[in-house]
Amino acid sequence: MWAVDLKRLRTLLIKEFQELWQQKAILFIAAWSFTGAIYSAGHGMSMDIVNYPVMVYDLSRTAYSRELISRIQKPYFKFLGYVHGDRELEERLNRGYASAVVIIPPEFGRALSSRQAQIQVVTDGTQTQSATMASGYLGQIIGRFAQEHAQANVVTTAILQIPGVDSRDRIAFNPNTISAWFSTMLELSNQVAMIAMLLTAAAMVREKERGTLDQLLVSPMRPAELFVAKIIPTMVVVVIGCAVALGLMVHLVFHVPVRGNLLLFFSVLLVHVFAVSSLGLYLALLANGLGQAMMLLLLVLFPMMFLSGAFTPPESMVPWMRYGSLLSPLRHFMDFSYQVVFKGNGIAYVWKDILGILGVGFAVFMFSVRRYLRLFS
Amino acid sequence: MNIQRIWSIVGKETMELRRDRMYLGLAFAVPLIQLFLFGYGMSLDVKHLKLAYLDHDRSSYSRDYLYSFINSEYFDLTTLPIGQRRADELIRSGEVRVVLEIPPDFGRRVAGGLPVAVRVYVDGSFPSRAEISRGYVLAINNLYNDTLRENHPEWDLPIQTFFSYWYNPSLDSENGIVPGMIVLNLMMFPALLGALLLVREKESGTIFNYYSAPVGRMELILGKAIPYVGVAFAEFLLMYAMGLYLFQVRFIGSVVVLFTGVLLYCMCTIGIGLLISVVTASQLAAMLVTFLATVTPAFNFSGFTSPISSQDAVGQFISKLIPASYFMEIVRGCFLKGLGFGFYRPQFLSLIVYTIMVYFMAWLLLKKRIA
Amino acid sequence: MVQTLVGPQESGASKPSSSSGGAARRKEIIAIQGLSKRYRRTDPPAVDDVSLSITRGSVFGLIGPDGAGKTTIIQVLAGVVRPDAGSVMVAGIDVVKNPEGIKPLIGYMPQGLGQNLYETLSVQENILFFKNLRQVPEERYRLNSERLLKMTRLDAFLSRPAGKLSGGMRQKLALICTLLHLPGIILLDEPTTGVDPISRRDFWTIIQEMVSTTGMTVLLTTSYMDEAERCQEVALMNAGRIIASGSPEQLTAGLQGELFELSGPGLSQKLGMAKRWPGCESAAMFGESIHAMLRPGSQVDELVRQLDGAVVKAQRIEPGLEDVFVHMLAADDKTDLTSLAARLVVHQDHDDAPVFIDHLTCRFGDFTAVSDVSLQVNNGEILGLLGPNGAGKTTLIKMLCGLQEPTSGKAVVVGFDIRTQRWALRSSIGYMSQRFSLYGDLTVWQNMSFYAGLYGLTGETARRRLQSLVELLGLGPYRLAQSASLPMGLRQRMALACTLVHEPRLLFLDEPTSGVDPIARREFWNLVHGLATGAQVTVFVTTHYMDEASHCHRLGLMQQGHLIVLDEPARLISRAQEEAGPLLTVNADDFARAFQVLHAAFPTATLYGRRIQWQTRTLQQDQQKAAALLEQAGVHGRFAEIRLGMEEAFVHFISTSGL
Repeated sequence: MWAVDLKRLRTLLIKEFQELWQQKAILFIAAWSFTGAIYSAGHGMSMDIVNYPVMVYDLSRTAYSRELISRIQKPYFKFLGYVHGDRELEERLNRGYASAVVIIPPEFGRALSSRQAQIQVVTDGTQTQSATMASGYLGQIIGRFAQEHAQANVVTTAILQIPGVDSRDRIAFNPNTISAWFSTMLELSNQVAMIAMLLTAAAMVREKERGTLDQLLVSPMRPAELFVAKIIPTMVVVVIGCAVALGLMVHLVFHVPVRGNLLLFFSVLLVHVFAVSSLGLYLALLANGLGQAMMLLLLVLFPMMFLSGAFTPPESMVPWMRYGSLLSPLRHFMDFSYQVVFKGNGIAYVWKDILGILGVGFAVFMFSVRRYLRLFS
Repeated sequence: MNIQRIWSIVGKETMELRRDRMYLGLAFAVPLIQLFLFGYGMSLDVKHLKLAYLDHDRSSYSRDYLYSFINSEYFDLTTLPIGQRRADELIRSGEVRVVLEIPPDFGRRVAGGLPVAVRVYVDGSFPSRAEISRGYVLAINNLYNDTLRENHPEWDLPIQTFFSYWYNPSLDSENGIVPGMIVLNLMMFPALLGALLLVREKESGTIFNYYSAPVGRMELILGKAIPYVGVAFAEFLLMYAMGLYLFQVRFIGSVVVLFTGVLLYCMCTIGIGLLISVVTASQLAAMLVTFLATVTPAFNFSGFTSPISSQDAVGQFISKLIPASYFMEIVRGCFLKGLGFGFYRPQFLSLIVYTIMVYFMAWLLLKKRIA
Repeated sequence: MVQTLVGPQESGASKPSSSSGGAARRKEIIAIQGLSKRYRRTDPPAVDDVSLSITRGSVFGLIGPDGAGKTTIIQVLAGVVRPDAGSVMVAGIDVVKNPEGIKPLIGYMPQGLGQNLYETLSVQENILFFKNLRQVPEERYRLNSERLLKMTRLDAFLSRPAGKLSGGMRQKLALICTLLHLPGIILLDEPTTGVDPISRRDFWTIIQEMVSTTGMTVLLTTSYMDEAERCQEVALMNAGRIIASGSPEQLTAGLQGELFELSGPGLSQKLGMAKRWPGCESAAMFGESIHAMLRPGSQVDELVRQLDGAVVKAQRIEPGLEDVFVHMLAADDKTDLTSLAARLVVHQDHDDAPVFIDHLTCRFGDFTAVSDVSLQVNNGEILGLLGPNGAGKTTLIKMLCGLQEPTSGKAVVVGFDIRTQRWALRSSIGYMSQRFSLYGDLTVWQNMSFYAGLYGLTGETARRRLQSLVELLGLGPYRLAQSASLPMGLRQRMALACTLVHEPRLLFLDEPTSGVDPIARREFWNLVHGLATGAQVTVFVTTHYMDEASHCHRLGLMQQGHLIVLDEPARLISRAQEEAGPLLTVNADDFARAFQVLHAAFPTATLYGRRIQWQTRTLQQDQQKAAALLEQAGVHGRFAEIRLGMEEAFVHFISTSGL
């Protein structure tokens, strides 16, 4: 079953590459995936807040309140002006024009000196994550403002400072927590999975639909030869794509420091792509036509992506999801690629991930092969 | 336009759909699974992060302080014996996400009413997670400080801030994610289904049945669209049920407004698919174009995760170009805001104009000729 | 049987003229003037200044090679292609200006087997869709559908999905769907390509019925000459132009010179010699014999002498349409593919039988696909396997290629057991599938190199081998052309080249000439003959076409998994004729009227072009009765007895097989 004639394999490979070259739509998508998609992910898929639209309902109109308002600014916030009354406030939030309104009560200045000031922040809770972060930052701004005023006021008393625990943060690997560093790599590994499956599945569906598969089956070609020949072009495309994406998009456009051993990265990438492509081949055999194949692909791809640990860290998952995530080749690969690319970790650190990639990959591969061999009855 | 002829195409499409069980099954299963995973995956709060601490003080104060970490659900703590492994190492290997270092004079300074700084070392490879961890530490510090200041009113800050969250008072992420996902799914899947409608018949050659028959172009378009609007609506009903019963999403608005909006939106997104189907020649191309034209823009520019008004001018312009932005407001309005009908008027108007434009374009570009 | 059909075209005299003999002028329904169409500016025109006139109620055939422009004309008439120049009037409507206007009046069936059907929908549902789409009134729908279903015998399969029908049944269903609204004009593009003979008969029965009862006009394209002979008028097209038109009789009568049929064993080797003889206008293989068209003044005896004794019998014959076609399109071609083919592979020298099948059976669950088949094929033999789709031909071939495990029985193919030596077996056989399964995106050379590599030929050896194949088969100019862009004939030749790369001893050809025009088909068969007789390659062919069947040395008929007969073509015909009688034909000027009269008395009578024919064992009696009937009707008829064709023989064996 697994005999391979290298000369014949070469012939099959040449044909696959020639065909791939003619599939401009597929090539275009592959090119897009490793450049445009990553670019837009780096720009768009931001989890932190930028320009969060804030308005102020200032009932006091004092120098204090204006000073506070002047601190609500970029990059986190965008001050959109004042609201004048409850109805307007409601309207602005309902329409989504503003996402938060800071309400400063009348007599804010006097209340401040008597340490009785209260500020109300109304936030649109529909975008929960943004809302949480925005209120956090707003709280910080107001707190700092309050602290400065408190210090200004307590100079007369004996105590110079307000006691309390403060933290000095240091963030490793991404000191400014630039989200593009993360999202570009995340998108890259998602695209790797999608392109690996799509390319292989499309090549196999084409062979099936055109009837050339029968022609191959009556030739002395061995099962392994076709299997490998269908997957290798995908691997080549993905590796080239990854190189471009890493070098051009990730490194040059988003200035992500690539610290790790790229040889290690690409070797493991190859194993990963081999496994995922064999899954694509399986889907092509299962599907009746391209429409079904695409749907099946999505059906497999989405769970893989969500169990990858990029959206929720595995430790925060409920147990069944945590164990389920071990089955997602993406989880291991994602972890592996972050460790190697960002942290510059070597085998000593990532051997577990590699083991996971190998294990899941082997299972997926065996699963696909079983269905594939039925072609040869 | 001849209603009966439209109806005949509707009937045929429906029958074909019923025959292709796998396709139909997938058309329902994939959006549901996506909603399920997104609903769970994105709304799960980041909790139980692994934190290692290094207590150089070992006083009762530092122990108290650490207890406030243990009592929160945010972190799972492990001790870090001094001098054994460096904090760097732990972060690097990913064994812990946060390292907390308490200075030797912690207890003394706290007792003396002096400010004290602890050191926090965070793994930045997942930036948003790093921010969240930092935020958690901040919150725990504030809580701890509050208890410290409890008996010293003179240490109170001069301003008290009250936060309230409209539309979603307890900030349940499901309330934000699930309606948003419904909007995205109803953008992507109906468009995908619609995109195959004509192009499939182009590939199989059955398209000539319409070309050579006295069928109007709009009759063909509507006949194709109607059953799939039904499918999309059924997809919605399932997702709606999943949202209400599984995710317990708040729903305080008008069902009538919502369902009318969904119907309109589904017509629109199916229409977008059909438009793509009119201009492409192969199923593969149609699918890929649909993918690019719907998924990414809807995700980034519909106001799903961040407010549209926070986008720059280009982003705001793009968001005007996609129907998901208008529909997002209707859906959120119905689920969470519970507003009067007057609120929805501009969105409905925009959607109606949009839909008419899409169908008009499809009609304009559809040629009953091959050359 | 005759039932009144209610059609939409009430206007005008839709019935064929029934009173005053053949001189009655019928109205023109399609008028094309100076039609031209070019798809791309760089391409030569697909249709070049064509003018055509078709009368109401006639069956008109457009014949010609692949790419001659037949399909374009049909599509212009159907309003789906806009011409560059010229005027096209259909039933008084200007198609160029108002393409939608004619759509209620026409029925259009595109090329391909049941191409207008929806695979997952049942027979009934497909019909209903067309009814609703075309807004066919309930009453007309009921009458027509019932009757059409009965005529096609599809009424037993109403709930079967179209995708599970055989090719013939699909095509019949497609025809029903096209005819459902009783259009005044139907446009059929290659309607019977890939259809088995029995279905093809049903197909023609329906068309003749519709023409004679509703006065429908039929325009069809075909590349099969026996099909063209069923038309009342034909136009022969080549390279976008009409080069001859008229009734089939007019076309054959227009041939200059005398046509001789030369027969004798191994004559295919002498074709080139005949072609090169100066007194010979053109010569071509017809089955095992040569048809030679002699220039006026040449003597056939001289030609027989030239071929030194290979000719056993030479007789003058009346030319058929195929002769016209070959003569007009291939007269200048003096290449001798038959002897050339012998050089494509080295002479195969083996003693053992290449195929030996012993009680082979294959079951899928309850269904027996191949039932107890035994046969032996000899070296250099061309064995044809006929039978409707689902008869078991494909399964049998799959087993012989080692792709399908037999349930019981054994078979040895080129010396290898099909169960145990599958891989070795595959290296010694060549297989050419129905659609010439090639990679359309790749060039001719890329495709061929691929097959060479697949069979283990690489490097310089492969290059030399491919070079010689390309040169011998005349593929040189197309080496770098994308194979999908080539006409079917060239693609077929390329596919053959691909299967010959490794010089196989045994060749499987699965419907090798589907969709290929007559000239290319003829060249292809010349090649196959050369391979078989010249190089002793054994050829195993499955086919639907009688045309192809006559090229085989022996023919097997399969029905429901059984091999019901196996013999030489001529012997099969003789046997069928002994058992079922010859054909009685009637030629009448007013053939439509004559057909009405005779069809009522002889239900099996069919209209074949302008002649009426039926099979009978009581020839004398039938002739007397028919003559009397015609006299009563005031029609003059000429009677003749003709030998059965392969198609009639085939139908006979199937219907008497008891399966």
